[in-house]
Amino acid sequence: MSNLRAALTIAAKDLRQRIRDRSFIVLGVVAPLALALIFNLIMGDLDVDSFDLRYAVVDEDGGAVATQLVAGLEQIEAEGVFMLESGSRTDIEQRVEAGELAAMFVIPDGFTEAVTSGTPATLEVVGSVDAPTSTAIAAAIARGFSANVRAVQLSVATAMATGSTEDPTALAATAATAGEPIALGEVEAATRQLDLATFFIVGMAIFFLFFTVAFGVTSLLEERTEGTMARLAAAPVSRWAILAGKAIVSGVLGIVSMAVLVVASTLIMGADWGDPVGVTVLIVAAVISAMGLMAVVAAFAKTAEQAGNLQAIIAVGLGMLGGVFFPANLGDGLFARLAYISPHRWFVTGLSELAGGDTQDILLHAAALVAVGVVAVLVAAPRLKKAVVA
Amino acid sequence: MKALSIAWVNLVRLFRDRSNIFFVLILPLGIILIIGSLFGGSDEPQVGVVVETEGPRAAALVTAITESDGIEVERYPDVAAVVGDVERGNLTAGVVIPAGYDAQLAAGDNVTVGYVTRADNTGLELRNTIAAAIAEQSEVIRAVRFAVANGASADTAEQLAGAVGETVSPIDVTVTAVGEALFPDTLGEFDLGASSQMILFMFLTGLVGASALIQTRNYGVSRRMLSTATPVRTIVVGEALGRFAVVLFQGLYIIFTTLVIFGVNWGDPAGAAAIVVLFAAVSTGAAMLVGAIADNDQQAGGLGVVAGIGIGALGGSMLPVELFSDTMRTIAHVTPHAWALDGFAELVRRDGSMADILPELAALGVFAIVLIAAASWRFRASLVRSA
Repeated sequence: MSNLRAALTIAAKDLRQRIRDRSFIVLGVVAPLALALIFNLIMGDLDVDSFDLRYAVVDEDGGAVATQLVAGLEQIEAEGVFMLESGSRTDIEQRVEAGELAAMFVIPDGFTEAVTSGTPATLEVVGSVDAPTSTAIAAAIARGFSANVRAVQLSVATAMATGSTEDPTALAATAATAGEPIALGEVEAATRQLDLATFFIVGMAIFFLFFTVAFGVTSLLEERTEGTMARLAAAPVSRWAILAGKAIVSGVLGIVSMAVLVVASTLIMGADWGDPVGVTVLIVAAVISAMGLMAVVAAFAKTAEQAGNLQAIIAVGLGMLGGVFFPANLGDGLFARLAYISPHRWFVTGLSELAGGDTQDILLHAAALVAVGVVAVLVAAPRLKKAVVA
Repeated sequence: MKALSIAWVNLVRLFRDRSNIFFVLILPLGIILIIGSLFGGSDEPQVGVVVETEGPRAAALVTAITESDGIEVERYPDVAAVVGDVERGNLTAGVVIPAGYDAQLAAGDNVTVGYVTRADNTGLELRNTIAAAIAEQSEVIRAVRFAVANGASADTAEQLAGAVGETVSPIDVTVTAVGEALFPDTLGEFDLGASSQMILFMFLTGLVGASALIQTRNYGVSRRMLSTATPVRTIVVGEALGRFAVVLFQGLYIIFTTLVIFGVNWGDPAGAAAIVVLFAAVSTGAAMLVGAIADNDQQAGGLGVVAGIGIGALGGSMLPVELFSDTMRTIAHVTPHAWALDGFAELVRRDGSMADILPELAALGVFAIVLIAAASWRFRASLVRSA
């Protein structure tokens, strides 16, 4: 029997075994999908980056300047930045307190008179204690309005001080129409991030990939403890063929589980993995890296139980480090840097790049994943051949 | 006494497998550390600022933006870097103060400051914050230009604008906050993560320990125990005590180490102890039940991890239940986790005492009694069956 056929026969037997004992279906497909669904169920609404901004304005003054402010707020509302309500102070304040509204603008009685006469005027921003960012934005809007009013006041005062004899009211009217010297324009940016639903399934898929791929390793050690390895080794088959058979099992199970997860999550959760070519490249690279690391376990573990424990430590440790459970941005601190030790991180960031860019942008990520796998295999190789000995 | 020795053997067996030292003792602390560093710090949106040509007005604008409330500002070397970090979500938004900013304003030209944001985020709203900082800078420029347009010389206008600025009263914007904070400022960066991870891991350790119970049967240990003059009841109690001891030990270990290393606030000691003891009992009950029902120790171990994480997430161990939708919050209270975490919220965030968490303790007690009763019944049956 040729070595290739031997390898394929071993692989086929193992694959049948894995499908029969259901462990592949549970760890490779059901577990990642179930956890991603649960995470998405509880955290899906919580898109950290987009909150529903709800403000209210309470106009107790009703004068010209107050009306101008309300009109300004309504204009921003019309641009779709936030929702604006109005009402009496007590009603609105209760709703802010309850957290239904993020913040309210209060224009106190006598505001217009104070502004036009140049005496101190106050604008109140009352925010919900749990919405500090939204409150700060409301305060900034109020300050921006105040700066615009002040620009007119300053313009009139400066013009008068430099000797203009025109009527202040007329001056103010002209000053109000003067253009802004500094405008705020948009710079284009794409989104190189995964949406939450996709993030959860991507994270769980790569997390459980390390367990799925480990089946090949575990079976290698099981053959040893069950004594079938001695018989395999006695057969006219090279040791490498036996190892190749186990590697095929790992690779096939890894790729099949990932493929099933991509399709199932797209259909069930509406996940968006991105460009199929890029996704395929990253999945193959991830399977290579997981196979490499698990080969190291096979090379160094003495029993199937020990291998199982080592695999779990590696898979859980690297998964945690790689941030597969947290939809948060890792920022640029120590953890963000350390995270790149983990193939999980390269896989997740690779898919994120794919979400906003070209397929070429992921070559670095795919290369990093393959490199992890190759280095690991080189570490494992010298001891692996011994692993086949009974 | 026999029950105690059975419990002791279980502990020895647990830690003889050294990987359990990792899962029971090291991993929870590592995760508390990671979560604390990721989420415990400031959660203000980050804004990157690029200044293409340095100058006094550019510097003043950077200062104005930096002093804005509610954002954290970081300087960036160039536009590509800031756009890249916005795209990858490291920044909420970016501001580009263009080349020749000072020179163009001095020459009387208008300039455009660049604003970078992803279409899907807070950046759209934060635009207002940046616009306000710009408006504050442009008020003086507008005054000077207006005076010049009305016949003054540029130098005089500049001087006078500065001087009259002192006399014009600005509109004062006061900011106050109302309502009761969900997560008060006094909450330490590790406080929230420590209790939720402790609860997650105690339950996980319990469930994963179920496979040890199955091994006890499969290896014939229970058969040998039954062949001695030991009542079934003693064996059941011994096995339960063993599980309970492991889970309780882990809980107390996490409380103690996080208290010493991270200075985590666990609230009233008696209240915290009551929650940990009851939750250890709940986890024991769950472990015994799984151990009694399942036959394959490897499958029980794998399913235990998945179920432990899944139930933990539902119960608020990943995201506080206070942030769930109303429906999900109700569903969450089907898990013992949500009750235990509610108890810690009361103790830690609202300085509650034992008396304030009686409802939570009662709920945990019910979970514990029901699970342990069901488990003992099934477990007894499985022991006798295997013998």
